Amino acid sequence: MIFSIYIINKAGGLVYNKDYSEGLSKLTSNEYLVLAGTFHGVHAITSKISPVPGSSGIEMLETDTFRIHCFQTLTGTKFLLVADPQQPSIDHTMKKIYETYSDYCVKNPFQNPEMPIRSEQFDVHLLKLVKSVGGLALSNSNNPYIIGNTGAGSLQSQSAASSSLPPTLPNIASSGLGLGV
Amino acid sequence: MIYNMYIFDRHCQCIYYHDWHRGHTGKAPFDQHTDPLASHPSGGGGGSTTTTTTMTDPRQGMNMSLEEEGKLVYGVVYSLRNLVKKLGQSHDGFIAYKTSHYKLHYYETLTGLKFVLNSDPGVESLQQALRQIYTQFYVEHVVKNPLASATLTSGNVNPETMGAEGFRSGVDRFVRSLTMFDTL
Amino acid sequence: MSTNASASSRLSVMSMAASLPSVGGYSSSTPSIYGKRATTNILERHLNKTRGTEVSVNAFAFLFSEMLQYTQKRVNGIQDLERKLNELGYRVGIRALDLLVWRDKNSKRETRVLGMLYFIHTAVWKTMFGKQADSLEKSTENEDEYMISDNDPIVSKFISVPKDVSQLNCGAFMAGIVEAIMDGCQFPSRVTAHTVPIEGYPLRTTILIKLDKEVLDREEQLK
Repeated sequence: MIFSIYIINKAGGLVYNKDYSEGLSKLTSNEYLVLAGTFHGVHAITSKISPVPGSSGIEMLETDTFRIHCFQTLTGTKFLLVADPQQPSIDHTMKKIYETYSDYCVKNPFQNPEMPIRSEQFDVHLLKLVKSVGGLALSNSNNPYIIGNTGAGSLQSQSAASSSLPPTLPNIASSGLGLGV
Repeated sequence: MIYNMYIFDRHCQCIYYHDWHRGHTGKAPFDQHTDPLASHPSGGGGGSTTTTTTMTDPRQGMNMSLEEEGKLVYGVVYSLRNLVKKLGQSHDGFIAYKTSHYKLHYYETLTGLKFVLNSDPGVESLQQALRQIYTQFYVEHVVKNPLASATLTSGNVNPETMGAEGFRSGVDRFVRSLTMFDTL
Repeated sequence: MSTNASASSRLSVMSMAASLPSVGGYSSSTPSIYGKRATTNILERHLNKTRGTEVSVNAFAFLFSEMLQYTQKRVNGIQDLERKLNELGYRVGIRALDLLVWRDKNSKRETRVLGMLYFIHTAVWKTMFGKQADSLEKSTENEDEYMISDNDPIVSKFISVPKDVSQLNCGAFMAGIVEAIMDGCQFPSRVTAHTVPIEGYPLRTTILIKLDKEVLDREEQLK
């Protein structure tokens, strides 16, 4: 089960946060910002107080109810994945999150680097990813993120229907887009 | 592999410090997986200490005094504890954290005493061991020893010598008896 | 050519360019300063060879993203941006057409609108985007309008258009390509791109081709 995903930019600012399962306290957006800043600072110090030389910053924080996994890219962006201790194949998930980020944030011309992430496709694909690694709790049916089987089913029926349709026009002709001339 | 141990009292003062394998990585000196951004000029002095497996001065190369380091360690565990409390619905559950090179185990008593132990990252949870150190050694040799308790409450303790009254040797014996003490 | 090409492989590029259609096994005789790798050099690659020479979609995405950001800073408003993207696409299209025609072994000149559109729908789309377009339709309302739709256009694969410029369709770039090809084949027309999402394909883009009157007149005569 995955509780949340946070993305922290290289200056310690929170640029993305999304909750996927219930279980952790809901914080205000300001508290989330503080939390991200704290983690960023702690991450830097943990590599300094290492008893052996050459350590990285904190990579995994363990508590009795959840774990926070942290992955820092070479460019300094940090991905935090809050999951329950039983969540399998974290490394794989983390890699996929990074991939999704590189695809739909980095390559999006409307996304400014280091700024809060507003990318619809990123949201969609991240949700898809979390779902595919079993990150969503099945019990909470009122979770707004779960669209589950109904979505996939209607997708198929739709494509089947559209292929059998006669080649009628989509309604753009009447919507007046660029047709006044 | 057990590296070192700190104990902090309620007043965020480091009252005990002990190290065993500090600076001993068992890895090639330049096999460094460093944090790309954290500019740490100190950083444990690069590979200078790692080459010597004989532990002449374990703190050599660390240009940070024990006092300073203690404060940083305290700051880290304090921040993480609060962070965990905040996220985990006010439930206190910070157990450990891990970096590429070490794992920090944490145990806090109900009285606010904080036990911090560093090991290599492959070690399973040592919270039970820390609890044992508290019940078997701290309570026995420090709490029940009026002289030791007195020095502690007076406020100026040298964390590297505190508890000469059997506590230090007890802890030393106990930690050395742990299976993961010097295996990597 | 292969005998006096031993001086430098740069030179051989020049001589090759002059005798393009006739070079067949030039790669085996390229001089050795670049060794075997000279054969994979993009400058020396045969124009006719398409397999294994596709550009990574990611590389394209980065380039396109930069293009958009560059353009965005130099325009006033979305209409202007779309016009600019269209222009950029035009420059690609006009070159692509030449290449396509040259590559096509039994190419003939399309004279009819439908044949032309079909060529775009299949051949052009395949070369540019690695797949055929998903539909080719004729407008039921306007005689002079045709539509080519792509369910999942590659140019906007990674792009999320923010709410405040939601009318923008980055497919304007594709529209520019289509316009150039139509133009280059003597089918002058006005081409625009519109987002027409259907379920399962939120990015579906329709390229609307509005033919000039002269094209329609000619078509009438050819009937």
